[in-house]
Amino acid sequence: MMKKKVTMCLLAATMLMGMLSGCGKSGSSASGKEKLTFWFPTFAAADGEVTDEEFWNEKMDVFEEENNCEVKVEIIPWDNYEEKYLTGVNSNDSPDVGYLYMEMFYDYIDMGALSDIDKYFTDEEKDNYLYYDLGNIQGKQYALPVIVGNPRILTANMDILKQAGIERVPATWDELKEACQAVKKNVPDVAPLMEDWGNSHYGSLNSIYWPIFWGAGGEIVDEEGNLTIDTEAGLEATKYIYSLKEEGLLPDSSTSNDDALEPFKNGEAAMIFNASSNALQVTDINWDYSILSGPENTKTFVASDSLVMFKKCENKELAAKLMKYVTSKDVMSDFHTRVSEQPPITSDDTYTGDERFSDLFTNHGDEFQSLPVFKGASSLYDTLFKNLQSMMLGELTPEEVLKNTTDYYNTNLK
Amino acid sequence: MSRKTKEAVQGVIYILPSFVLILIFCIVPIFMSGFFSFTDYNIMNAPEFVGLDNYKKMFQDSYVRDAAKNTLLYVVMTVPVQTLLALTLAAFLAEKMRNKTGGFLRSVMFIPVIASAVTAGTIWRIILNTDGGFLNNILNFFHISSVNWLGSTQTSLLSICIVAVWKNVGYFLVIYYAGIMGIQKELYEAAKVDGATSIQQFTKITLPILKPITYLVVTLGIIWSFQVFDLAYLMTGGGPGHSSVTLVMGIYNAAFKQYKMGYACAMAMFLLIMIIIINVIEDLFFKEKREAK
Repeated sequence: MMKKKVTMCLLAATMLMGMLSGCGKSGSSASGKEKLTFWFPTFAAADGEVTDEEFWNEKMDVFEEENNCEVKVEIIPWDNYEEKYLTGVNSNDSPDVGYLYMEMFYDYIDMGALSDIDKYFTDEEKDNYLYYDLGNIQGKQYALPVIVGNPRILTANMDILKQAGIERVPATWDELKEACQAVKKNVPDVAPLMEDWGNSHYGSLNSIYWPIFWGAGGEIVDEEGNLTIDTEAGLEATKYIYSLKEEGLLPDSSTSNDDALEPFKNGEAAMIFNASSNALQVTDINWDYSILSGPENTKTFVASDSLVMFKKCENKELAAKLMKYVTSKDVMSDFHTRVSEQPPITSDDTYTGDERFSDLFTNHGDEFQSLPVFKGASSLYDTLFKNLQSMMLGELTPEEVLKNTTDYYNTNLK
Repeated sequence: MSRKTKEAVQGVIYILPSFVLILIFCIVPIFMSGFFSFTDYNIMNAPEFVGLDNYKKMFQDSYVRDAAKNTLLYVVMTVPVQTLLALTLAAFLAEKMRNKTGGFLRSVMFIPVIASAVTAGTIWRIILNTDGGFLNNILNFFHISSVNWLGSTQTSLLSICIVAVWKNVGYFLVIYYAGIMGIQKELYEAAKVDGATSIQQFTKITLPILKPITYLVVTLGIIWSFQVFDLAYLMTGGGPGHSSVTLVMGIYNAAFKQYKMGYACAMAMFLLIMIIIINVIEDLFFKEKREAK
């Protein structure tokens, strides 16, 4: 009986020690080394050369040796990405260095969860970053852009366009309509343009709405963070998109379609708006691309995701070092080669990706625009997307879309 | 300690683990949600008492109104259909197919139950695709024009209901089947001797005996239907427009997209009250029927 009791006590003590040892986060590890946690999303293809975890662990081994520290890498899947961060921050279990996309920033800044990292970077280092200023949000350097790429482009099947008598990819709103009309007339079996208005996520706006909206001279919010989509420019852009459907240049199925790439790959659509990385998946079609110019601007969406340092980090100097290391030329160029093809983020790095995009990433950087940071951004985009879906079904007018969205934002989201 | 006390203590010990779990993971969260629903709370900062503001705002929110309407419609469309279908299929299998084929069919119909919502949603998106979708191909074969199942406000919610019925019917079928198999054969034999037709046997013997099971099936169906989220989120994301947004989707968005935990809790309490009201009505309905008997 006594023996049994002793065994039980030992077992309980072992379990307790095990549980307590799992509680350690940042700070010092058992070996006395400084400890950091690093969260990064998945980028590697399923059949890629390395997994994200393998790649980052390999890189962190070098950093750990150089800085006599331990870095715990955690790869966060895109599914429920925001929830993972939210629960992490809530339970004081957030990483020391993490990765946020633009729509996430406002709330974390508002919560006071992020550190201003500006003081950890020298002027020389700042100058080396091509997009350092994109990380300046609400007057503070909360972010260090790490993935700035995947611009949205108009991709065209050149064989179909040639069949329709069009020699080059449309570069303006008028040219797009002319090309669509020519395809409709001369290649009737093919959809002139395909868009994914049936997507369940508002992310499609980045391809099929914001570039047009910015092209008309629209701005999503003003400097005070007020929503400014319900303007003449916004209306002009929204009407233009609606007219594509009204004039039969967009097929009816676009309202249920959640993937424009597939019909393009199959030769069922002549043109699509898509991310540059998606265009590279199209291998059996002779395609070319352009950034569509609107009446006022030539602007397209570019993803601008950043590294951030959380306030709860105990060794901010070391965390800043980690951020610099991750965004260094050596690590990033290897990341772009082995994990995910993206344009460089520092001036000492060179573009090594697909030759067709060399000009895009080298000479068109000023045409790239990322989403602004403001309160309720995700919900605003969701509301706008849903209202635009209704417009494409003929249930709302372009004027109603912009007014209803603005009213809803001002009443419920601001 | 008397034997009675001993048995009572033993009983308490038996239910204690489940009770503690239910207390921690069900009852306490309900009270916490109730408390947070009266606060402005964004997780990082301490909750601030705002009285009934969240509730007032909720009833003025067009999203919540549409979500409540869609959720009710969804319940009304799915619960009767899946209950009747499960009962009919179970009766058919129990009556006509008490063999290997019947067993095989039961297993086949149970597969959607164990399939993940992600898989089901993805497969049905392909089936319901406007261009080249399986269902539209069949319609086209009979010279019926394609339907924009998921991309139209008229059919998006209906499409989700169809998938939900397909997914749930196997589960309720198994429950009904077990109930039917438990009915004594002598009752049917006596009815036959009295000259009862098959339909009369079904309505006068099978249905009344299955009443407790029907109560369970309807209750579970209603609760599950009020909780609809995954299929709608995967298949339409609530669109087009607000045509397929649901209350749980609204709760999810408020909590995890807008970080308005207080507002999300108010919606959750509203949903809880709706479910309780409907269950009370349902309980009264079944009670009346029992008493009428």
